[in-house]
Amino acid sequence: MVTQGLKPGRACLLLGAALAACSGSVAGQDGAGGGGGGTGGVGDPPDPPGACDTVGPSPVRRLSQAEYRATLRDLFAGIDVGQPTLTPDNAVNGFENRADKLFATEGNIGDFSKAAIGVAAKAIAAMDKLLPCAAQADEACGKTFVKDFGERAFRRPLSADELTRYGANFETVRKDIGFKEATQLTIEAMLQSVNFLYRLDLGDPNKDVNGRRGVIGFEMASRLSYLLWGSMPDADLFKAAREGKLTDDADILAQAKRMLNDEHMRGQMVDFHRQWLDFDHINLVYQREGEKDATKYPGYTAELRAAMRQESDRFTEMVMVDGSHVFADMLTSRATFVNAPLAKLYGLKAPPSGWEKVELPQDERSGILTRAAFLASHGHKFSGSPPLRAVYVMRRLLCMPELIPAANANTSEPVQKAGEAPKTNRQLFEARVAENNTCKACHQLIDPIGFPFENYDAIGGYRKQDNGIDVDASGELQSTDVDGPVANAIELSSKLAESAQVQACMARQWLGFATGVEPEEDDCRVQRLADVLKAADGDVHMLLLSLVKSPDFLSRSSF
Amino acid sequence: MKSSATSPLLSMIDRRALLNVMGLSAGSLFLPSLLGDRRAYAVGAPKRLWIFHTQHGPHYPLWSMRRGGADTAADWDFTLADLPAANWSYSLAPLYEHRNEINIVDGLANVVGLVDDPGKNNAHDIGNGTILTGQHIVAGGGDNRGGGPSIDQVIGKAVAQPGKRSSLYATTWGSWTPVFSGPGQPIKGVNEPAPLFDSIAGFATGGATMGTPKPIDKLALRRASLPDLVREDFKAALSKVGSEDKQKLQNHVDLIDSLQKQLKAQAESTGGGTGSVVDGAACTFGTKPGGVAQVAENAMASVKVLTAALACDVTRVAMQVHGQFGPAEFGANVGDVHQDIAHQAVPGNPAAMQMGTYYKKHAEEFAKIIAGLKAIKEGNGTMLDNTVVVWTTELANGPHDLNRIPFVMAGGCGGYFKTGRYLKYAETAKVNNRTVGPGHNKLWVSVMQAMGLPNNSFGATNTGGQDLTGVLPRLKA
Repeated sequence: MVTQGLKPGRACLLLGAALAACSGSVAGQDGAGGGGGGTGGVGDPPDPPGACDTVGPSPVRRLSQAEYRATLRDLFAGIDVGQPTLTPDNAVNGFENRADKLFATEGNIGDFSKAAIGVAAKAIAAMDKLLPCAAQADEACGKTFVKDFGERAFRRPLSADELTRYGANFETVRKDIGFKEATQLTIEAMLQSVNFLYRLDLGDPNKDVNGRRGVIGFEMASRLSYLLWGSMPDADLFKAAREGKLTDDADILAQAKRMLNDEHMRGQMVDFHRQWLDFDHINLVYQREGEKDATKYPGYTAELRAAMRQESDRFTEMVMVDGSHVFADMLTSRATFVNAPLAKLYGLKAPPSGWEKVELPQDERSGILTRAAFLASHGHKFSGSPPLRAVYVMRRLLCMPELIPAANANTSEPVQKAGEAPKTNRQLFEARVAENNTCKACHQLIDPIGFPFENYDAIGGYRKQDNGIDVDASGELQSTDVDGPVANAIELSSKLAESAQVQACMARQWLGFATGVEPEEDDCRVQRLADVLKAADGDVHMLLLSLVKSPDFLSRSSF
Repeated sequence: MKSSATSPLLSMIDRRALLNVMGLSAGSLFLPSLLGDRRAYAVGAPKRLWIFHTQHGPHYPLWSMRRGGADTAADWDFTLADLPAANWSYSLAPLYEHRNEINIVDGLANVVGLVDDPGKNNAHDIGNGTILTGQHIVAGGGDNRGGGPSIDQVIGKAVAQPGKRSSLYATTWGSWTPVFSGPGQPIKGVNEPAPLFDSIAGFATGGATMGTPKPIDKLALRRASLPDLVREDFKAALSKVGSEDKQKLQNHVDLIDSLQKQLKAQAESTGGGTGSVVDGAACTFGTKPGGVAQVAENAMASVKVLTAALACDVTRVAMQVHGQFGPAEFGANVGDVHQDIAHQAVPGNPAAMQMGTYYKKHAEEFAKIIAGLKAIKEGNGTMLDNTVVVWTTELANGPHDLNRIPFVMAGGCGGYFKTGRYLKYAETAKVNNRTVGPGHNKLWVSVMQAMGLPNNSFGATNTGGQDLTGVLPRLKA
C-alpha cells in the first residue's frame, strides 16, 4: 500500500507541522562566497558551510522531447530538418525529463523511426552542407561521414567495432544504391541508436571519485550541455573532451561559465521555467474548458491568449537570461514586453507594431503572479479563483504538499444569487467556506493566499471594484517562512521574493531537472543548493555552477 | 481471381493460399510478414478489443435501468430488446438502436481503488491508476500512479501480430492517461487524429491487388535491415548497464524487433494501391484527418482512424481516452465542467441533469463507434461480431465514487459474449465498511479470455477481503 492522498483536516495539520519544522533551517549562512551575477565575467560559485554526503542515482536517460528536438537542430545546424511530431511523454510536477518516465513505447519507437526517416531525407537534400567531401562520393568520404557525424550523433567517438559496422553498412548501401542513400540510411540508423536516444553515462571503471565511478570527458560534455543548453555539446565541448580537459573542476567550471553566456542558454532557461511554472497551462485550460464569459470579456481572443503565453517566455528571458538571473526579480519586476492586445489589458498604450519593452503600472502590477497568463489560467469563466491561484503559489513556488479536496466539495465558481444584495467574488468564496467545517480546515490556510489576487479579474485585468463594491485584496501567508498579512498581490509577491522557502523550492526543481530524478523530501542537496543561492544573492548561475561541480555531476552511481 | 468470400480478410487468405499453390513462397514479395496472421484468419477473422474511456462518470439515476427490479443486493438481468425505447435511461437512450449487440453491466466496484482510498477522497488519481490496471496504486502524483500494466497493454502484447502494432492509443489534449506499461510507468496517447493517422499510415502495405508488382524499392529494403545495426548498439549498451536500466533498454530492443517487421512488410509489399491492406471499401485508411478544434471533434475523428486500424489489422487493440468535453459541446453554460457540473452532480442539483446530458453525448459517440464496426462486413456478419468494445470511466460518478463503475460492452468478440442484456450485479461485498459490488477486475478477466488469453486473474487477486480472480459470471455465451 502507498501513501494516500491526505485527508483534508489531517493534511492541514501535517502541513503546518512540516513547514514549522523546516522554516529557519536556512538562516545564518550569510556572507560565504560571493555572487557572481551582474555584469562582466562569471565568478566562482560560493561554497557555504554545511556538509551533504547525499549523492543520487544515475539512471540511463532517454532524451526528453525538448532535448530531442534541440539536439536535431544542433546536429544539423544550418539545415532545416523540421520538427518531428512525437507522442507526448509523461511529466512529473510539470517536468518532462524524469528518467523513470522516459521509457520506450510502441508509439515512440514508431515516432523515432518516422522522425529519423523524415530528418534524413531533409538532411541529404543539403549534401554540401552536411558533408564537404560529398562530391567525391567514395568509400573514403563515407568513412569520414561515419566517423565525424557519428561522433556528433553519439556525443563521443565511435568505437572500433562501431566504425567497422557502420562503415560496412555505408559501403554496402553505397555500392548497391548510391552515396546519397548510404548517407541517408546512416543518419536514420544513428538517430535510432541507443547512443543517440539515450544518455548512458557509463563512466570510467578505472576512475574513482569518492567511491563512485567518475564520468569520462565526453559524458561530462553532455552532462553540461543537456543541463545548460538542453541540447548536445558544441564543437568547443567536443574539443575539450577530446583533449581530456573535462576531467577536473577548473576545466568544467570554465566550460560552464562560457556556456552560461552562450545563446543556447536562452531557450533552456525559458524551458526550465515553462515546465516549473506551467506556462502552457493557459492553452490547456482553454482546450479543456473553453472560453471565458463572452459578454464580460469580449477582448479575450485567441490573439490575446497567444500574447499572454508569449509574455511568459519573453519575461523569463528578460530576467533570467538578459537580466539578473535572480528568480526573486521574476516575482517583483514590472518590466515586460507587450504587443497591442496585451498592452490594452494592462492599460498601456499599444506599441506602434509588434512587441515593445514597457514598465507596468506601479500600483497594479509586479512579477509573474500579477501577469495575465497566470491570472487567466487560474480563473473561472466569470471571475478569478482565489483557491486555484493560492494553490499554484503553495505548490509551485513554496513546494508545499498537495491538498486534496473532499470528494463532495463544491469547487464550482460561486455566483451571485438572484435577489441577493451584491457580493464580491471574495465574499462569495468566504460564504461558501464559512458554511462547511471540512472545507474550512484547509481553506482558511489556502484562501488568504488567494484573496490578494482579487484585484484581477478572470483574464487578469486590473480592478478596484468587483460587482460595484471596493475590492478587499488583503490576505495572509501562513505556514511559510514569510508569514504575515499582505495588502495585495504586489505585497504578496514581495514577501515571496524574500522567502528562503521559495528559494529552496526552486533549488529542488533545478536538482530534479539536472539529475532527471525527483529529489527525496528531506534531501540535503536541496538545502545545500538553497544555501548557495542565498550566499549568491539568488543568482541562479551560481546554483548551476555549484551543481556542475557537485559529486552528482562528476561521478555516477555504482551498477 | 477474386474470392467469393464476403470477408475481405478471408478473401485475402484465399488469395494467399492460392499464391502458395502457385509456388510463391513466404520469401516472395507478397507480404511475408503477414504470414503469421494466416492461421488466425483461416479459422476466422481476428478478435479485437476497443476500450473507450471517458471521464468523471455518469449520473447513476440517469444512466441505470431498472426493469428487472430495484434490488441492489441481488443479481438480475433482462433482455434489452424487451425494454421499450421510451423506458431506456436518459443517458443510454442513444444505444437503443444497438440493443441486441450490447451488454450494460451495472453494479461492479473498483475494489482495489476503494481499498486504496480509505479516506473516501476518491480522487481522480486513484480511479485513474486502477481502472485499467486492476492493481493498487503506487506513490506519485497525477496520472503517474498506476500499479501495473493496463489491460490494453497486456492483451495487446499477447495478441500482437508480427510487424504490427500491439495496440494503438488515441486520446485528446491534456487528458490524464489511465494507460500504463508497468508500475508508475504511464503511457500517453496520440492526442490528435492527424498524427494518429500518420502512425498507421506506414502499415499501408498495399497487398490488395494482384497487379504488377511495383519496382523493388531498394532503399526501403535496406532500411528494413537498419534495425540490425541499431540492435547491435543496444546489445553493447545492455552488457554495460545496471539491471534496472537493462530492463528499460531491453524493452526498447524488443520494440525494435517489431518495428523491423513493419519495415520489412512495407519494403516487400506489392505496392498495389495506397493505404489498403485488405481489399474492398472495408479497409481503407481514407484521407488524413485535418486539424480539430474541439474535444468531441478530436475524439470522433480518431474513432475513424482507429476503426480503419482495426479493419486493416494494423492492430487488434484500440485504446481511446476521451478527454472532458468543453461546456458548449454538450449545451452547458459553465466555465469548468469538472468543478461546476461533475462535482455537483448529486440528486436534486441541476448539475445532475447536465451530467446526464454529458454522458448521453458520450453514448451517442459510443453508438457511432458501434455503427462504424457494424458497417464493416466480415464473414457472415460484421466486424463488431469479432470485436468487444468496452466503455468505462475512472470514476463511478461526478462526485468521485468508486462503486457502480459504469460499463457498457458492445460486440460478441467472436461469439464469446452473449449480448443484448442489462446485467445487474449484487452489491453485497463489504469493503472499507461499505457495501459494494464485485470487483471490476473480473470483467477484465472475461475480456482477456474472450480475446483468447488463458489468464484467470488480472491485477490484484485478493484485496479488501474480496477475491478478484475468475471471470465475471453471466457474460459468456
